[in-house]
Amino acid sequence: MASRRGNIQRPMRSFNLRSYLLIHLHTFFASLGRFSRAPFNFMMTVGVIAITLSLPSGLLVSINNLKSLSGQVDLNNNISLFLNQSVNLEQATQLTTSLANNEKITQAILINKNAALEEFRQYSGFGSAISVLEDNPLPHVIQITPIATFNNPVALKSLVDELKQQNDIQLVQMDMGWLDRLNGILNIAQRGVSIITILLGLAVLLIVSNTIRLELQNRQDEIDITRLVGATRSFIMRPFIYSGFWYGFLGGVFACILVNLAIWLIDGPASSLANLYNSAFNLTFMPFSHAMLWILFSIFLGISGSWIVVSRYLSELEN
Amino acid sequence: MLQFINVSKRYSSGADALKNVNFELQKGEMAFLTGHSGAGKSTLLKLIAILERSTQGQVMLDNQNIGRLSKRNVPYARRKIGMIFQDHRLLHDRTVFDNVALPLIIAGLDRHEIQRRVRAALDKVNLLGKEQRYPITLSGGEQQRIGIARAVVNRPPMILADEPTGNLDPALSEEIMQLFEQFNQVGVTVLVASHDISLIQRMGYRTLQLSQGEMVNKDG
Repeated sequence: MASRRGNIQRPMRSFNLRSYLLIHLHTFFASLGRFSRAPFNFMMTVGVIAITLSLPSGLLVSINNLKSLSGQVDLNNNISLFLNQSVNLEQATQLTTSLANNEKITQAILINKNAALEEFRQYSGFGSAISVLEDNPLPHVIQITPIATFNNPVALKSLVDELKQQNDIQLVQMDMGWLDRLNGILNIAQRGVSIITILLGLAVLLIVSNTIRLELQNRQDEIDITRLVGATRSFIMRPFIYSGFWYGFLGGVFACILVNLAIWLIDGPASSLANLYNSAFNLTFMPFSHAMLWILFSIFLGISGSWIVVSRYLSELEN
Repeated sequence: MLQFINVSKRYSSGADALKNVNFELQKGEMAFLTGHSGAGKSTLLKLIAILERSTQGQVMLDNQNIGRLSKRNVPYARRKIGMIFQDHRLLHDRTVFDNVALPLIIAGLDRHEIQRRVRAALDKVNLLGKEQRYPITLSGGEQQRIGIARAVVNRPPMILADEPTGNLDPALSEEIMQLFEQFNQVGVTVLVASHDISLIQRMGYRTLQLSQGEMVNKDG
């Protein structure tokens, strides 16, 4: 009696690597050729994938842009001390010196109220209105930078409280506290994008699965016939896996194109807005490496979606 | 070549399709399989093609118990059998050439070898010169001959035909049967399922007869 797996005669004799690769190449382009016969259906699926993926990738690019915006402002933890109007320049200079000697402060810069007014006159566009004023309404301001160890909310709060004790100081304002908050919000947003990426990635997986499932139904006869003439599982799966690849690849490419197109459309208004704030801020496009990662991610989803549905289908057929 | 030893097949519905079937086909033998609809012909063919597995007993093909093959090895066992169907089962979006070449592409042969063998097979069934036509543009008899070319192109040791003349007129049926005889003459084992009794009798080969799942005659 023959053993269970005994004397299987695999056609190794006539097998060679070159023709194996040729089969792959052939299937690869044949799957593309099939799309050319139904380009509308194909592009619909690719379009859905592209739009689905452009949402998380677009959000990620936006967040990176906002992060680079907050990174451009390096005054992160500066504190502005607005002095009382009664304080004269000499007193202000003395206070600045004493603050500069404070061990908790690395730097103290006095902004002379006359100089400040002059600057305001030049840049604000209220020049003529300011000329009408008899007195300078601006106080002297001292801008201080705390030492690095104070670079946390609790320590900064204690320093601020300490400074508020001084009689000459009317108002203590943390200039860039909002940047911390922005960064905090951006971190939350980034987490949110991760979740959206997972959900929409799952959506792409399902889109590809469903499309391939329809394709399987349309080609049921072909699958049955190739099985009957001795096709292996991988031979039958191959064209569908390649279909999945093309969906993923083109979906990913179009997603990147969509995102960069959107950035290009927004960049003009964004930089004119930035100009109003004296900033040379420009939106950055999606970096090449990120685009590559998104495309790879999309290909992965396309292949997996196809693989799941085809292997399930074949497992049901096999006995 | 082919041996059924105490083979029974019960479907999950509880119906007994085959009951304790025993028979043997020698290498190079030609035989007919006959019986009414529902007698178990289809089930018997499905067991040989490994589309179904027997509930009991052994189906031996070329000294190999194909009922016990692992899924991974099933395709390689199928390549030993050239199968022919009543409805031809051709791929209508591919040319005659591509249809016949399919088993060779699956086996991973190189292009020149494929070309050579497809032309040889088409020559045998008298369809040379129609390689680039689509099956739908050919007659029923010609389509059946494409199916036959596809079944023999891989030079399998055995041919299995399920009602190959079911849709053909007597003259064409005769022609198809003569093709099977030719393959049989070069040593291929042939099993033809048919209920065309007059044709079977005229041919005069051994006939296996199934009735309600039992092999009632295996020497006729």
